[in-house]
Amino acid sequence: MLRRFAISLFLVLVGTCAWGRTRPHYGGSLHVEVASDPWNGMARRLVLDGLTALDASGVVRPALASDWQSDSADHRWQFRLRQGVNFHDGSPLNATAVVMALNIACNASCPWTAVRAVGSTVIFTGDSPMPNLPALLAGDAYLITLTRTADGQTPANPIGTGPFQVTSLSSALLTLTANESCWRGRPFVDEITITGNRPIRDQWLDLSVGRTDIAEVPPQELRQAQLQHLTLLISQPVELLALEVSDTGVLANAVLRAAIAQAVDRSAIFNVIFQKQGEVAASLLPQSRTGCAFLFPADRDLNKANELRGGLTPPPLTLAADGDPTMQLAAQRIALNLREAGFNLQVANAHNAPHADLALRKLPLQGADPAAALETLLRAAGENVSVASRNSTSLYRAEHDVLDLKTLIPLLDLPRAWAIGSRARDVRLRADGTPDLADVSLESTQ
Amino acid sequence: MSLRQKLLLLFSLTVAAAVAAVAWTVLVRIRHVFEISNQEETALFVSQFQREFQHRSQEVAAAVNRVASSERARSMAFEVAQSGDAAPYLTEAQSMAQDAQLEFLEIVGADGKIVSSAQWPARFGYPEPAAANATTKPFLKSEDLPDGSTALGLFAVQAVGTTEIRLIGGERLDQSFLADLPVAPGMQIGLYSDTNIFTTTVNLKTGATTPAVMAFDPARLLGPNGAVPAAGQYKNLIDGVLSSRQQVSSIVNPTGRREDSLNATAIPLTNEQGDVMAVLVVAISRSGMVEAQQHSLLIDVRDSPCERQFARAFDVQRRPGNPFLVVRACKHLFCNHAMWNERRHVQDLLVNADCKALPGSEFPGKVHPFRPKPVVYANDV
Repeated sequence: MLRRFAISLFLVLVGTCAWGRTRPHYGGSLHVEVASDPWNGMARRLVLDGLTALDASGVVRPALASDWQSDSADHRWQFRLRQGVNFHDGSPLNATAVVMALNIACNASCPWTAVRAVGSTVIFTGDSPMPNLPALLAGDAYLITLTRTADGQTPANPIGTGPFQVTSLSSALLTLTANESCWRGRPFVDEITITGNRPIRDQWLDLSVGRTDIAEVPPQELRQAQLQHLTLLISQPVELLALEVSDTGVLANAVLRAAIAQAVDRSAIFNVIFQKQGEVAASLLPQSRTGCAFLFPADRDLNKANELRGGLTPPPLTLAADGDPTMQLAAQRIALNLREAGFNLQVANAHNAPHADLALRKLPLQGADPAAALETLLRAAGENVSVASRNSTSLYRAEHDVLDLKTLIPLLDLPRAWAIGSRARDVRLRADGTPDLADVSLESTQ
Repeated sequence: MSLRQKLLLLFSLTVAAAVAAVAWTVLVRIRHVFEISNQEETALFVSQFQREFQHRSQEVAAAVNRVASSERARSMAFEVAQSGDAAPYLTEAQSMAQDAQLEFLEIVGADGKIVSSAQWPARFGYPEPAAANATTKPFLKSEDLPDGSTALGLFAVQAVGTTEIRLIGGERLDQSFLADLPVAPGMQIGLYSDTNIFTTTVNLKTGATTPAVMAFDPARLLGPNGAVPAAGQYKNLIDGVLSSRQQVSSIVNPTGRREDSLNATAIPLTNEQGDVMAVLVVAISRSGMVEAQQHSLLIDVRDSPCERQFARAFDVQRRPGNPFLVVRACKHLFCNHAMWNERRHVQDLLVNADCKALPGSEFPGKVHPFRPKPVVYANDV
């Protein structure tokens, strides 16, 4: 009897210890390293909130807006603000501040025609229907930031309502501290430091010696990261690598654009440059979202490309790509492909060639709703369109119409991946593939 | 006409004929001497170029051999042969080239397609015929670059271990290579290289090339310090080499002034198939010869009256554009000459004719200080 009691007591103690170990701890400083500027999408999401947000599966959830409704066939949307939300400086969130932030954030390709504050609601009106407005408002472009402080000054650092507030921001280092009065609840860690402009290999080295807790893993480096036995978090495809083709100048000729689309060899880019990560794409949305991606042929047809070009000898064209070496390499490969089809392309850095004839870009693939995801993607590509398709056939038609213009040539769907250190716990990825650090805790340093 | 007049006329005609013959002989002699000198200098430079070329060839071959025999390359070749997947080695050539300090390096698979390229990483998967055709002996090849240009390079091929994977590495043959060569003052060198001239159509899928001659581009002629001045003047010379595939020499006149003219020799640099990959141009200034021909330098009047008569006749008959070279052995001999008046007369003539009197010891240095001394002896005159 005593023996059984002792064993039971021992098991209970062990169980308690195990439970205690899995319980998240408050406190500590989390270190993150990224290759880009530290004030990137991940950091913005920690500091700022939108009216809506996408959960991990891409479904639209309330954020600063507690609920919303549309009328007039999606021409008018009314978002009711959550009560009791304060900015980091203590000023309360109100509809006027939201409208001011949206007016500053919104550019010419704004989904709505007008936005105004009425009491604690924000009302959007549009000349055309806005069926995907809640999903669009979850995007990075429409995060709410305080534009004027109580004394009428423009804040030196971004001020939002998110779980962390900016303590210091420079080109290489961003320091965030926990927002004790966050409407979502206090985050577990006290502080997050994000070191920017850090080369990938240096990030991994820092991760291996415990100098950082989270490091970036570009898709093309995933295989190498696996060989190094890093703990990885890999998202679903969240970015579309696409070639944007201008429809002006010599490329106003749709036949030439079609020849370019036929000449690009997607498989070489996928197999070698991106090391078989992600998937080859000839459609705007992946097969998993629409089920009809297979209807768009992805194979290269050089003969058809030459046939389409006919006897035309286009003048030299410029292909712009980000300064990232992988993007530059992919651009060089596309230039080489097109050279075979009779096009003479010069690859340039996107910063130096803002008006290039072609541009290699990564576009967001976010949201569980295909129509909303398609509209988000097209708006990111500069197309001011509204996608209202609710079934597969109409969605296919909408996608086909866009692709038929040959101004946007899909190449690859790419995932995002992160290497996680041994201290960080409960790291999960958002719908956009970035880690959600609001719920991350650190192992006890003891 | 009296006998006296006849004799005088006969004598004058004889003297005039003799002077003309001597003048012609002197001009021919000078030209011959300078031509031989130029040929010797050109041959000397070409031999130096070849020595340097051989030296670089050996260096490139050794570097490629070193890379091919490294553990890293062997491991890579083994993995590629085993798995058949070369994708993980996309950037391997860049790091290998950096380690071996090679400007060009490509890893070519057993199927003859590029696995990794240091100079053009995006070219993976395209065939590289040079790797299959070449032997272990270094060779010249023009390399396409991502910016659309081409570069002439000195390449060597080496198989990795016992596998069929090959490394083809090389170094650029450009103005920096020329800058390392010892060039004599007064000599200009240039390298005309552009494979587009010789292979306009390159089928990237099959690797087949279609040779064709394109228009001469003066910007392609580079010297040790960059563009060669008045490069367009070398068009005929270089076109001649490209069409004949043999060494061609001619006189090039960049400014239109005779004293700025150059004695240029163009030498084809060919690959193993005999295709002209580049043209080496060696040009030597003709200013020395022109100066020698335009100035009467010296008159030796120390010996016989006959020679003094010749000397006087040279200056008397000197005309612009038809200069004579008059030579003496030693300037101070004037002072010792018995016929003081004669000396004064000759000197006056020399000054009036814009001539110089130089001792024999100074003569070669003044005419052309950096070449074998062309000596014309008084007795020859």
